[in-house]
Amino acid sequence: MFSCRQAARLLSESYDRKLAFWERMRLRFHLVICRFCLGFARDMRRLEAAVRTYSQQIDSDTASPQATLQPEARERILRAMESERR
Amino acid sequence: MEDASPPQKDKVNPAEWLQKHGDYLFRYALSRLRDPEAAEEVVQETFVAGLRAIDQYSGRGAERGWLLGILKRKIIDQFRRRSRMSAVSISESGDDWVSGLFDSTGHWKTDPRFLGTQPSESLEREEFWAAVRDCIGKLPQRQADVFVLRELDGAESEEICKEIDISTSNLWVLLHRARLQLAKCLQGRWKNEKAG
Repeated sequence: MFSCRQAARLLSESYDRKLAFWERMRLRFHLVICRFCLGFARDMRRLEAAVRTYSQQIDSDTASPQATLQPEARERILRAMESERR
Repeated sequence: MEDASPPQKDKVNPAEWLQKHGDYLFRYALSRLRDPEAAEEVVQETFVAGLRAIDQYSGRGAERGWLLGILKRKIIDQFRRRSRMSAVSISESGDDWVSGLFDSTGHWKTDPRFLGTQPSESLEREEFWAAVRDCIGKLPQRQADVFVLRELDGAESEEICKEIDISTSNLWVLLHRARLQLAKCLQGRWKNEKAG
C-alpha cells in the first residue's frame, strides 16, 4: 500500500529530480484520494513559490531586515584590504 | 582609451568599496550562511580576493555583480568546510523525527497543512519571510545548508552533491527532511501568529 509517508517523500523529490512515470502516477492517484496529502502538496507548492520570490528579493537587495556590517567588522575588513594593497 | 582601462590595485579606494558594496554583500552572505560571523568572514575574503584580482575585472558598471560572483564562491567554500566538520551519518539520524509525523500504517498523524487559508499575497509579506528565516535557522545545519543552496540559489542537485561531496540519494533525504521540518515549524509559527 502506498502510504502518505511515501507520498510525502515523492512529493519532495519531485522538486529535486524528474520522477519516473509510475512514480508520478502513484503520487497523482494518492493525491486524488487523500485530502491531507493534497493539502500538504498545495502548501508545499505555495511555499516553494514564495521562497523563490524571496530569493529574488535578496538578490536585488530589497529584502529586510536591513542587516548591516558592524563597525568592528568594517574596520577589520578595511584593515585586511589595506594590508593586501601593500 | 585610458579612461576605459580597468582600475589598478592602487586606484581602488577600499573604504569606498566597502561603503558601496559592504552591506549588500553582507546581507547576501547572511541570507545564505545564517551566521553573522561566517558572513563577515566571507565578505572580508571577497573584498581581499577582489582587490587581488582587480586586474581581471573589466568594466565599471558590473563591479557589484563581479564582487557577488566572488562572494558566491566563498559561500560555497564555507558550506563545504561546514559539511566536512559535521560529517555525521545522514541515513540514520533524523529518521525518528520523520517517523513521528506518521502512524504505524504511514498515514499522517495530524493534518499536515501548514499555511492555513492565507491568501498568497500574505506570503509575500515580511512577517512570512521572518517566519521562514526563523524556521530555516532551526533546521540542523546540514539540512539548512542544502535547502538554501537548492531553494534560494536554485542550484541543481548534481552541483550541490559535487560541492559538498554527498550522494544524490543523501541529498534528497536531507532536502525531504528539511521540507518536512520547515512545514512543521511554519505550521506552529505562522498559523498561530495569524490566529493570535
